[in-house]
Amino acid sequence: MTRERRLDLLGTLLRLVLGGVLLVAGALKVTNLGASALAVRAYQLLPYDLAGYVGYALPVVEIIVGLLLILGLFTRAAAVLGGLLMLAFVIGICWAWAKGLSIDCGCFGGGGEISSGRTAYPLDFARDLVLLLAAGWLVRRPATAYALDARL
Amino acid sequence: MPRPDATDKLAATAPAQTNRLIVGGLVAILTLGAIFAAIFLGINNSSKNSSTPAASGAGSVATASTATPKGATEFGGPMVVNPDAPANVPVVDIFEDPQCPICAQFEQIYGPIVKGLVQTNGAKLVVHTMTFLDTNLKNDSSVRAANGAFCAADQGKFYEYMSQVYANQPAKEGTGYTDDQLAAFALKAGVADQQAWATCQATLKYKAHTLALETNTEKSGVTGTPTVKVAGQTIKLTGNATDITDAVKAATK
Repeated sequence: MTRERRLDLLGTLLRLVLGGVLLVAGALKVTNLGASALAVRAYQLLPYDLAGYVGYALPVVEIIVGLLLILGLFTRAAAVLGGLLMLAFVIGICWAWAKGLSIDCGCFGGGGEISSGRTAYPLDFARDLVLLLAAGWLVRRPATAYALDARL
Repeated sequence: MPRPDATDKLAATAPAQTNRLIVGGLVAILTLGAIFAAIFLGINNSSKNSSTPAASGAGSVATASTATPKGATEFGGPMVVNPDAPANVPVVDIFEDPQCPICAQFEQIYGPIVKGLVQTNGAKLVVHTMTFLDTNLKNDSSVRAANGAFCAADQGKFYEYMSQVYANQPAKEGTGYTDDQLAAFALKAGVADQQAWATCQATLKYKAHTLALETNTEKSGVTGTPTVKVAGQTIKLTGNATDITDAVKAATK
């Protein structure tokens, strides 16, 4: 196997992991948009109404970006969007952590205030940072194996 | 020597470019459509909740829309449990959702202390009943329980009713309260005119007030329960009932 091929396959793996996580996260939230809005409000980062719109739109964006990455369609653009989402999540988690909020990140549904012993900021932060790096890789090298991009 | 002709190469890439444009355009339109649909659905759902209760039986919707229970500061305002408290004692704000398990624990630990403060007028107790767990748990038990408490408030039994709610909270979060349970709370809380309470509850007379209170509370920055503020400052709950009494003592002039 050539070096190029190996890098293509690594790209495919990163694409599936990032896309898979986004798709699952979006699907778990899209069935309860009200709860998604509450989860965004719990960060106390955005004004009330704007937080609502973000909460409603976020699951849909996650599902679409996730699907594009899994299919390998417009990989670079999807990776840019996925990376921006992860960057926003990382900032949100750091904000909640630094502000001493006791909230569930709401990453996979749920969200809102929880008892202070149950917060999982380091884990959430680490996961989203790894996914952010995966997105960064795909932006720099969007060519991957088994991608629909090759058929366009 | 002539420059190499690029037309062959262009001809090879042109269809691909067109494909990308078409597919990309479709994906973009689909994405925007889905986002607008989600925002529309979300807003629609939340405004459906905050509209007046459906005319389910007696009571005119017009009067129900801004009906405010006795003891509430205003429409969509919190409940003042002991309005006759003297001016020199601090205000204790408590934010609770009837379906929040930690709130039931809170009541177990801090309930007697808070009750004592009310009875001796050692603090002015203001209760902000929240109902966001209805959204999370996909039921309507928080709104119905809050409405039951507000119907009891008309007869001076808000706090007693709420104590019943938390003392009898179902073990599993999300089970909710049955209508029979909510009626039993009214009886145990000592609501004198049961018929009036039942009518008030059947029409969910204070649903609009309850939802307005939730929105106002969220906008004020409180998004979780239980939250306790003494003289405007959120206090840390360590599981020790003295958390509140210490803060009250420090804030009493």
